[in-house]
Amino acid sequence: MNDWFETVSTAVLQYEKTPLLIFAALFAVIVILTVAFAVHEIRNDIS
Amino acid sequence: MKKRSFNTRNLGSGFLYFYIHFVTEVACFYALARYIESPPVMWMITVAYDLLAFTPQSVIGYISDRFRKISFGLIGLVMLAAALPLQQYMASPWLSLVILCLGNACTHVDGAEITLRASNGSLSHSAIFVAGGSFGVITGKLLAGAGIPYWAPLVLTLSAVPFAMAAKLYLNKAPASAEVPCRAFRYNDPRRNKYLVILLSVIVVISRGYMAYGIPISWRKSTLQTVMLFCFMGLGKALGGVCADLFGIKKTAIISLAAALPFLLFGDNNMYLSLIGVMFFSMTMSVTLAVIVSVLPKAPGLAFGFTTIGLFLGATPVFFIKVTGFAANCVMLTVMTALCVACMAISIRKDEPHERLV
Repeated sequence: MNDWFETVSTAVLQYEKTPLLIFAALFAVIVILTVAFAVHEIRNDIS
Repeated sequence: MKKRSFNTRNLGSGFLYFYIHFVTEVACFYALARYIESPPVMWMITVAYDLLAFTPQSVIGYISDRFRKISFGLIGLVMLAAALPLQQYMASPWLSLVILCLGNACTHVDGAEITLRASNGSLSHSAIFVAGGSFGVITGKLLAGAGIPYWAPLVLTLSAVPFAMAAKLYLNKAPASAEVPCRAFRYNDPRRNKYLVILLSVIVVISRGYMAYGIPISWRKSTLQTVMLFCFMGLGKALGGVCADLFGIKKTAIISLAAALPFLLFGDNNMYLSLIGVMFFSMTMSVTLAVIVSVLPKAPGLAFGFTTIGLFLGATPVFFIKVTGFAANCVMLTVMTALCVACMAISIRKDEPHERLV
């Protein structure tokens, strides 16, 4: 597992920014949705 | 005083999903190992896999919580089965990768939903389900490394379809299938704010995800040793749930994590010590899930999604920042273990014998 990750992390160091930004935006959308769902669930539970 | 007992009711759901989780990881890691043979897109594929397989589980989980009639397990297996020939015959890896990742996410969500809803507050069921993944990861890598053709993992994936159909039957037997399906999960400290409990549990998952790649394992040189490493990981995950049911969730979480540290630190060149450490280390896996489910008892799928977002956040920095050197690893492991123990001590309620809802 470690060897595999070393190979991949070496490749990541030569990254391009555009795909990283796309990944980051997608991740942000999913996290916002998840937090919103959780807030909705917890508020519903309290009421 | 009531005695704790190992709740075997509906335990079959855990074993059925152990197999489904196993074949899911076989398909994914078989495909992933083959994607990574193409260096120009190697890192993008790996990061995209982690992102698309782990993080959407919260959203899919929430949909699954709301619409229980949709069989995400079957959908996931069909998607995995479709992704394997697509990978073989299509020039671009992206379509097959997206289908593979979403298939992975769907089977995981369904496994969590079924095992949590059927377990009546026990951790063993979901722990056994989670354990199957470790065995699948190493099997998938070995199959790809041995040059096995794609139809072998494809047949294996399809063989899990009857298992997914059978697992669904456990939902009908689940006692708490009403409005609050996981009401028997009461492991969070009720004095703590619910948002804080989720945050602390996610911090534990993130730390554990990052720590997993910093564990010193210089002893691991042969394939057999790698297989043993993954087997002990799986064993630890399953054992964590069983021990939590038998001895209490807080005791299991804190003692196993603290006990893992010396074995991991001194096991760099000793396989036996290291494997004991890895087993202890893996035991907290189901605990964090149970604590988040306790806060979100109506939404077990969403709760599971929080742990997978944590895993993504823990695994991704490894690509960018890697602690190297034995001493630095030891410091990192010690600091992160202390952080995890503190988070769990705050968020988990004191162990007490409790009545199970039958």
